[in-house]
Amino acid sequence: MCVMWPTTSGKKYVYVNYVFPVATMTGKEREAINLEGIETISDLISRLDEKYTGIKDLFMPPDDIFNVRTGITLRRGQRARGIGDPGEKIEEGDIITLW
Amino acid sequence: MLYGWKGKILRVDLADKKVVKQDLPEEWMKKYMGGRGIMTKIMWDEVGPEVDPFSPGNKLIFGTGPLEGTPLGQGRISIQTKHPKKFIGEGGAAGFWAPNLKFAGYDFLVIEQKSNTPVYILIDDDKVEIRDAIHLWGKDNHETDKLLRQELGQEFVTSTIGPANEKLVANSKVFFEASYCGCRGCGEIMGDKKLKAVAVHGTGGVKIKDPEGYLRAYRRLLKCSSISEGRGEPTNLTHTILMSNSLIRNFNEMGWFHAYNGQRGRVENAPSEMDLLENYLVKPSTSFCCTSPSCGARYLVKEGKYAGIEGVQREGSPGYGASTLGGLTSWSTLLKFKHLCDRYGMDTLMVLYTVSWAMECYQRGIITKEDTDGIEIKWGDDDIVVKLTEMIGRREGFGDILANGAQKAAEIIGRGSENYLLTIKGREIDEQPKQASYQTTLFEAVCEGGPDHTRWFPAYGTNPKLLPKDLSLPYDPLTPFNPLSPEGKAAFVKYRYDRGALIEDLPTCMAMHKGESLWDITYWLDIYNATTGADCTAEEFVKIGERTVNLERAYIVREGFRREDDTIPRRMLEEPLIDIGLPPVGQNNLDIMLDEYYTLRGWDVKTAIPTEEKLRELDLDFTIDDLKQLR
Repeated sequence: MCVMWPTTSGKKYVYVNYVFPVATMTGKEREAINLEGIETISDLISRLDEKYTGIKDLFMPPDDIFNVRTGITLRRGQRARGIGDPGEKIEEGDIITLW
Repeated sequence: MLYGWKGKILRVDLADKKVVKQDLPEEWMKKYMGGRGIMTKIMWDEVGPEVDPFSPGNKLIFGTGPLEGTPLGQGRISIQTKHPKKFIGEGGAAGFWAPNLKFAGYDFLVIEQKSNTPVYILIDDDKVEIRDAIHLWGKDNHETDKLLRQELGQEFVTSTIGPANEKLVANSKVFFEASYCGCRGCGEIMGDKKLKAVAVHGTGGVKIKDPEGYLRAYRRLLKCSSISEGRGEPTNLTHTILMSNSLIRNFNEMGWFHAYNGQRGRVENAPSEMDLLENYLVKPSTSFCCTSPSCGARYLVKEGKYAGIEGVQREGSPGYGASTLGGLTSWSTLLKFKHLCDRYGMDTLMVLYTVSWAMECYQRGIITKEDTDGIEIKWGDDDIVVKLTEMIGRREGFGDILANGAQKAAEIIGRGSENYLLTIKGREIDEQPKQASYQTTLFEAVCEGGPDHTRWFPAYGTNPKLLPKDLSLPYDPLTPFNPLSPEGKAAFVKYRYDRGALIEDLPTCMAMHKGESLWDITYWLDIYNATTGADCTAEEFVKIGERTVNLERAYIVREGFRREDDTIPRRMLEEPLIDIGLPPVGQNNLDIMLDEYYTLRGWDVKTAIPTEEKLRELDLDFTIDDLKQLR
C-alpha cells in the first residue's frame, strides 16, 4: 500500500509521518501541517494535540523528560536524525516522524 | 539440591545410537552460567580446529540456562555449532521447546556424530529415543511439526528442519514449533547430521531458591519494561505484536535500509506497518511467559494470488528486505516470501541478500539471462522474488548457485561480482547501512558469531536525562547519539556485547533487556541470585558475560580468524550513500574503532588475539597454550 504526501499549494508546510502505534491515534499514516505559528518540535506537538488529544502527554510527558517512551526523527533534505530537544527548530519541508 | 539448573547434559550419538546423561559440572555453572557460555566451553573442549564443520566430529548443541523454565526464561533456546564458515554458529529462538527440555530434566542437549539415515529424537522426561524419520524426510517445517504431533501427541513440542536444510542450503535455520526460528547455519549442520527433528515433552519443574525474592525482582523488571510505566524505552510500545516491522517507515526516513543491495539508503515507498496490522495479522502469537505482551502475530493472506497462506510473523527482515530487493510494497508478496523461507527452513537474510546481490549483478550486466536460466531478475519484481526463493529452496537451476549463499555464489560467478557482496565473515549481513551508524559498523565487524544484531541489540542508548546522576557508565551516554564519528564507540560496543552475552547466558529475551535494565545490572543480578541461590556480586556477574565473549573470541582465533576478518562489506567502506548524503565509513575510521576496541578488551591490537593477561584475569587459562602458538 503506497501513500503519497498531500499536496500543499501556496502555504508553508512540514510533513508528519505517524508510525504505529501513533497512527492508531491519528487514524492516518501521514499528513502535511501548516507551519503558521509553529517554530519548534514542541509547537508542532502542541498543534497536533489539538487534533489528536493525548499526543502531547505521550511525547512530552508531565515529568518534562522528552521522549521517555517514544521517538521523533527529523529528515531535512537527504539527512535524517533523532530529536532529543523539544526546542529544536523546524523548517519548511522537514519530514518529521513520530513513533 | 540444584536451583535454576537441572544439572544434566543429554548427549545423543547419532552414529552409535547411544544416549548418555552427564552431570553438568558445577564449575561451569559458576563460570559460564549457561547458554552461550557453556556451549562455547563444550565447543572449545570437543570441537577443535581439526574438525571440519561437515564432518561427524562437529557438534550441534541446544542450550538453556538457569532462568529457562522460570517465567523470565521467556522460552529462550540457544543453538550452537561450528558454522560452515568456521566461526561460532549460534543463534536463539523462543517458544515452548526450551522450557520443555528443562522440564524433562536437561539443561543442554548435545548432538554428536552423524546418522546414515534420517532420524528424529524423542525426549519424554527420562525416555530418550532415536527414531527413524524416513517418513518425514522431504517434508517442510509445517508438515513435519504437524505429523510429529499427530504421531506423538499434541503435548510434544518440536524443533525441525525443512527440505532446504536437507539440501544444505547455506545458513538455513532450525525451527521450533514451525514458528520460532533462529540459529543461522545450525539448520544446515542439523541437515548434514540427518537429524530431522527433536520432539520434547517434560513434566518436571524448575526449582527456585528464593521464590519471594524472585517475585520481587520479577515485578521490578516488569515495571521497567511496562508499556505504561517503563521509561527510556521507545520500543516498548512499537515492538508489541509488530516487532521490528513497526519501524520500517521510520527506518526508511532515517535512510537505514540496504536499498537496492546497499546502493541507496531509502526507497520511495516503504511497506506500511499499518497495512500489515490491519489487513494481514489475525491474532497475537507469544512465547513461554512472554511479557511483551506478544513478540509476533499470526498472519493470513485473504485475497489475491497468495490467498490462503498463513503462518507466524515475528521478524522484520521481510519488511526491511522490501527495500533491499528494490522497493517491494506488497505485504502479500513479502509474506509469501517469508512463508516459503519458513516452510523450506531457509534464513530470510541469506535469501534476501543473495537475491539482491544477483539483482545488482544483473543490473550491471555481470549476470545475464545465460546464467539465470533465461530469467530476467529485475529490481522490485514481486514474481521474480518469489520464483527465486522457491528455486533456492529446491536448489533448482540458477537457484542451486544462489543456495550456496552470496559469497560462494560470487566465487562461482566471478567477473567482479564479489564487489557487490553484503557479507561479513562470509555470511550475509543484517541491519542498517554502516555508513549511517558507526557503532553498528563496529558491532557487526567484531561479532564472533558473524553479523548478528541480536547479540548487541539495541544500538541506541538510554536517554541521558533518565540516567541517575551518580551512575558511572563505562561509556559516554551521548556516544550512541553521535553515530557518524568513530570516537568513543569501542567502549559502548564492548559494554553492549558483554551485557548481551550475559543475557543470553541466563538466558532471557534480548527484547527484555532495555530501558533501565540496560544500565542497571541489579535487575538481572537479583533475579539470578534469587533463582539459583548464588551469592554473586555485580562485578562477578558482569565478568561472566565478558568471559563468554572472550572464550568465543579465543575459539574463532583458533579457527584462524584475525583482525582482518573484523571488517564490513567493501561497499560500505569505500562507497558513499549518495541519496542520504553519507560518505563511506573508510578504513581509517574502522581502524580507529578496532584499535580502541581491542585495547579496551585486552586483546592484541595487530591480531585481535586475547592477551595472556586477559585470559588469566577471566579464568580462561586453559586457552592460553593453544593461543600462544598462534601469536
